[in-house]
Amino acid sequence: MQDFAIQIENVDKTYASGTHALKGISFDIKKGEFFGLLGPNGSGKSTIINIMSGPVKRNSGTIKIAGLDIDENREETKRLLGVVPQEISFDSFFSVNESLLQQSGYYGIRNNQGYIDEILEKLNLSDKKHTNTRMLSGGMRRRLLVAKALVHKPKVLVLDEPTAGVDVELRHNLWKYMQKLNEEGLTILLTTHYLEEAEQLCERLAFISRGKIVKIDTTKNIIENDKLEDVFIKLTYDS
Amino acid sequence: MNNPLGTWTLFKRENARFMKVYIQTILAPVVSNLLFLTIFGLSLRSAVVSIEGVGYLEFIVPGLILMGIINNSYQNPSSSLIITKYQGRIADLLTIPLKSGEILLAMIGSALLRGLTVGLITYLTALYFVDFTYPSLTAIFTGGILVSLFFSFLGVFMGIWADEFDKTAFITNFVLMPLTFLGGVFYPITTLPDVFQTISQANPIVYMVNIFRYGFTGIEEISLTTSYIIVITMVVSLGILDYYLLKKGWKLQD
Repeated sequence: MQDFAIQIENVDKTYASGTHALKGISFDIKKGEFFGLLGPNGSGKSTIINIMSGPVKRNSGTIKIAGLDIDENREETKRLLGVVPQEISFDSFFSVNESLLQQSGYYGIRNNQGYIDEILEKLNLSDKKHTNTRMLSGGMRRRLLVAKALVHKPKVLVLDEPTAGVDVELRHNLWKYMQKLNEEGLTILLTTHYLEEAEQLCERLAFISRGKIVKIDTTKNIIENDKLEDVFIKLTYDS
Repeated sequence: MNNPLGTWTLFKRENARFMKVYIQTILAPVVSNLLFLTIFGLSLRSAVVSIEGVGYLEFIVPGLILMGIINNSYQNPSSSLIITKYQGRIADLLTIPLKSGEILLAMIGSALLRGLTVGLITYLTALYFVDFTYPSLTAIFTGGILVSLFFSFLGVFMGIWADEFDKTAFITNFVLMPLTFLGGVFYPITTLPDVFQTISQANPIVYMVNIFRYGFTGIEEISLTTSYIIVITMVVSLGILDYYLLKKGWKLQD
């Protein structure tokens, strides 16, 4: 039980609009794993993430983070998670550093400036430390979202398309940093449209289409006979 | 409390938000109240001899202080929550490890701070024009805090319910402002015709003004006990409703 970072069992979600976003989804992610969740737009990836982190309520099913049920241990499981959302949005009243100090405070962490500086350096944002978040470019904002998700040293990092709009070099640096964190024990759940990134980074991949997991296996097995792009198209568009 | 530092951080964040735009949030309402004081108070002070032995300026100042407290206690959480929704940041509030009660505590604390700050500055400015006798400091403190609490809770409710600025503007302009103006801020309820006196009794602000004004002037238009019972009941009910709605994620979670 304790070897799993995330356990998702029979999770079902229908939005008020009538969209049946998740149809009894089940999968597990092991502790320390770099796991990829792939699917086309609207397949249900963000819905799973938003149910895990709080903004969306599920209709049925259970979710556990590090063995803790998210309903029974809401605050504890939130502390274990760091989430980089797909949508870029910021508190426009504050600078980069103020935002990160606030985020630390929300998680009950005092005197976190040293770690914040370290994250900013790793994410190439040190020179923007005192810049208002309004003044950042799209790529910088996305990296700031990554920084916000990391300030409380979560056990599980959820990245919902974190590199959209980030240029090649910075994307490369970001992944190097994520791999380092993963090697240090951080479990990472990644959704991305860059299939080559998923192939390079993830130990296992799950494919989701129209609210259902259609395949889950190790990356090695998945690409044994086909290119990942071909597998993706076959599984998600043909299903 | 599950996360005192997190609650304190959210409280500080809410304060920093309104202090970054202090001209709009603190100075503007004080200037408006000063204008009311000048226009209604100074121009009418000679026309209106006295109300139950109290000068007109002395009579309206408690009402003006309350107006500042009401508007700012209400505006702080309502605008904060609506801006948060509008900017798509409501997920930030839902993903941090704070319980519903802690979020409510932080938002209400900040709303009280802003509302009471505007009320205090209005009071200090009014001292230039008026000398008060303060028959009941208890009524001033409890009345001010209860009113601020009620409108802070109302602001949180509106912030949760409304998904666009138009809805809160509607409530501010078509509900809150008429209720405030018709709540006895500028005139004694007892001078109204009987029918309007009866209608006024359905206006919660009448009871709030009654408690607060009693503290400054000793004028008791409605029984203080009745006023306290009504106001405390409303504060507690709205507080429980807010807590319940936040816990349920009503209008916040999909």
